[in-house]
Amino acid sequence: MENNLNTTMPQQSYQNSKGLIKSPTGIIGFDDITFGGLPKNRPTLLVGSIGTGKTFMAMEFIINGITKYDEPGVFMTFEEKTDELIENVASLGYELNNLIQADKIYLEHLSITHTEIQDSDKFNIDGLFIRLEHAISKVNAKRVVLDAMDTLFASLDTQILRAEYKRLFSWLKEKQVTAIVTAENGTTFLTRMGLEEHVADCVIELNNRITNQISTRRLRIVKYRGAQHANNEYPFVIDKNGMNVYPVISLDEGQEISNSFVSAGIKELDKMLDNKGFYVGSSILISGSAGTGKTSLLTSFAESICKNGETCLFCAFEEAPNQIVRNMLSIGINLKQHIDLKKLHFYYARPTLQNLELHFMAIKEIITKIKPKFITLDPVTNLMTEGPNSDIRSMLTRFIDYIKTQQITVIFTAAITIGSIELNPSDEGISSMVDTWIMVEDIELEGERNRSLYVMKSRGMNHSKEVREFVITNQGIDLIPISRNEKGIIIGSKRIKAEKEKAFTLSNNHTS
Amino acid sequence: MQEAEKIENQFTFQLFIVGATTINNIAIKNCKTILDAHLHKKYSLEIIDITQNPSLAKKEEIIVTPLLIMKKPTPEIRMAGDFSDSKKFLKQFAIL
Repeated sequence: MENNLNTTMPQQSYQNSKGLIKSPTGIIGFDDITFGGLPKNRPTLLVGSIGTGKTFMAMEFIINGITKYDEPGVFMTFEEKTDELIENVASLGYELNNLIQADKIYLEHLSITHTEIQDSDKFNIDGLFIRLEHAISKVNAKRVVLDAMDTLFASLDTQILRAEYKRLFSWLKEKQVTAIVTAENGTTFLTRMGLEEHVADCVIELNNRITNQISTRRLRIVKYRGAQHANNEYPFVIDKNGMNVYPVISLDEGQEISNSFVSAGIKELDKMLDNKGFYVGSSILISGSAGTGKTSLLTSFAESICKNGETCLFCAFEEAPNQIVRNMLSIGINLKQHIDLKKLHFYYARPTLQNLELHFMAIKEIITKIKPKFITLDPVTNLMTEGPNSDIRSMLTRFIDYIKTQQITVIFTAAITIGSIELNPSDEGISSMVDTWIMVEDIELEGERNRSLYVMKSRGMNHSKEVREFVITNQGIDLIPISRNEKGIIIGSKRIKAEKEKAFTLSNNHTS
Repeated sequence: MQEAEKIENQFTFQLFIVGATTINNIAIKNCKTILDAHLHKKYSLEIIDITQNPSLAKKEEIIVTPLLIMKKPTPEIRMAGDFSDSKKFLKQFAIL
């Protein structure tokens, strides 16, 4: 087969410093964690049990190859008949028929009757090579997928299997196509193949685990010969927009760190934050036990953003939006006008109903649509079911990192207090993730409950260490410095009394 | 005359191979030997190299080779290998 190298093709794959060219998959997140995609003109083994998304990922690789990188492809499968395949893929938004018509993709179903080989010991898979060759030349393919290859190999005896498998991979390399070979039952297959040692240049594993009743899909790069690759397991989702892998965004990769600030919406709070407010693109945590006014603080902030003409996305995970709007009205915050002006958008969901990643996917979609400058998550603790869960926590980290790379300022509330951190040390993990941490606490004194607010930390600025009284009036939020006398702190009704006395004294002085 | 022809080609075989390799030659030789011994002249054997005919490979669903397909009598029976084991061969094709 002639190797058609069209030199006028746009540069689609790039070399890393070691000279290994990669073939971009076009799958969001995947090309990031592999620093470019799959090894070009080499075969990759994609393993994972049933339903983990192998066929889908392989198909997306082919389709993106055609639509984004002008590389026609071949998709041969042992598993589905071609019309089944077309139908299944159509339900995810891909119109294969058009691509077939345009001679950009060649689909073929492969079948093997096991009785034809069960009693044999001397044969080879040359027949497959002939058909592959034919398929590749039909559309001038640069990408090839062999789906469910273990169906073939499962029935071969180990000696033939290893030999033919090696031959297949060598053959694919010779043909100068970037190939994906998928197989089920990763470990058994890998062990049978002796893959740990030789044959595949790149091995990727997909799995789907259920932890705390939440099912999470994960991708892992088991092996990537000759190139750097990230070692971890990455959560991913598959939805109508395709496959989406969540990479850990490395924040020092040329990301612009903003030096500008945005008001916290409460004059006194800005003062406590070094007279600056929040850094644009930073993350802020407002924590405190239930009923301490976190949501009020949050909406006060959201209101100020909208007043300044910016767009804010409010993600509500506990109270319904209309409830929030009604409650805020009682403290003088009118959110309705901002909703009408399309400055304030709500995303409301009860996290128990859906998968966590699906929430993030939905939010991501809204972000691309309305391009908000600010996102609020209220509360984020609702997203973590049944205590500390490292999978969910890592997903949250990735999500927040993603938001930050979009230069969006993110504020979230959490029902965390110093006390709760002592009981649940992993809660501290949330606080260490953020740039600014504002704590709201109850102060119970002589039968009265008042609230205090202080800035626990705020990176990159000289924030106030002051504790202030946090008061919610029907004119909004006030942060009053706490004064002391010989009896103790003056807060709440005592403060009001002291203020009245002071005003009385002053007016007396004037008159006398 | 027609009756004779019918008996003559009671068994119709097609042997699919890829290229002219040692194993292919062995398979062809073994196949002919076994069929000659047990079916005498009552069979036809067509040897097809699918290198030049990939669409036929697709039509017949050829993955492994050498592959011997018994087209007649129906149902179709398939066997891959070099046919060095005549017992297995005869068992597979239900000859005897």
